[in-house]
Amino acid sequence: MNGVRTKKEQEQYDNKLKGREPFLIDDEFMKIAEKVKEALEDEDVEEDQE
Amino acid sequence: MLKKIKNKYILIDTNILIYSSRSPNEFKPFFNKIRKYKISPAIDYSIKLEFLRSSNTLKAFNYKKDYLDLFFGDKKNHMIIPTEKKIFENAMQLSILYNFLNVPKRTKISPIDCLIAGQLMKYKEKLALATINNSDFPLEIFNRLEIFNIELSHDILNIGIYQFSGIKYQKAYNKFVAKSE
Repeated sequence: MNGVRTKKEQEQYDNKLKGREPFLIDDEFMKIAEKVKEALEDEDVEEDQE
Repeated sequence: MLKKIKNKYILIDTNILIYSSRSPNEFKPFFNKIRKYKISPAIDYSIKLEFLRSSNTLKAFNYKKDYLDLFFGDKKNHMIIPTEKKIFENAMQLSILYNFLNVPKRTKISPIDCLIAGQLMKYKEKLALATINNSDFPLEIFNRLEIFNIELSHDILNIGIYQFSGIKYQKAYNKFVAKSE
């Protein structure tokens, strides 16, 4: 996944979210957290946000 | 004290979103405790803006949007609170009161934190806040329901859970009015 989905991929993704509990840390969460972590390292996140 | 907001909502501050993406495993006990009390996560548009606005590529923006989806789960389980006119009015009132309370750090409160405080004021019965930014939610106005410590390899995070107190607000406001006369 490169961060942009086709229509079909989006449908599959939306289906996967159905019934998902909040605050659930599973493999899927860990994978996307890693991507966000990398993205944040490249960004100029203001001190106040932290 | 989380029992107090059992079956209610908790607003997740941007700093929690950022730190939990960096150290998801360390946040597990905290998230599990929230789940235990069936507290639903909430977000408002100002927090969403703060989290997404620093994205410098479309890829990063989409990853963050996915992260929010996974964090908050099925849309039925969470609430996106609109930032309506009343919230801006509350934020304005509170920011003046913060200045009156006159603690140097508080004069630096960001407009987004003022809006979050405004949300807590409006939904004081059913909404609390989870944040690491403890100095911007003064105990002269808010009740601190609980503190969670999260140990990271090079830091210890103190997550405060806050709820707006109508009684405390009124006391602070009365003092402000008396001093202004």
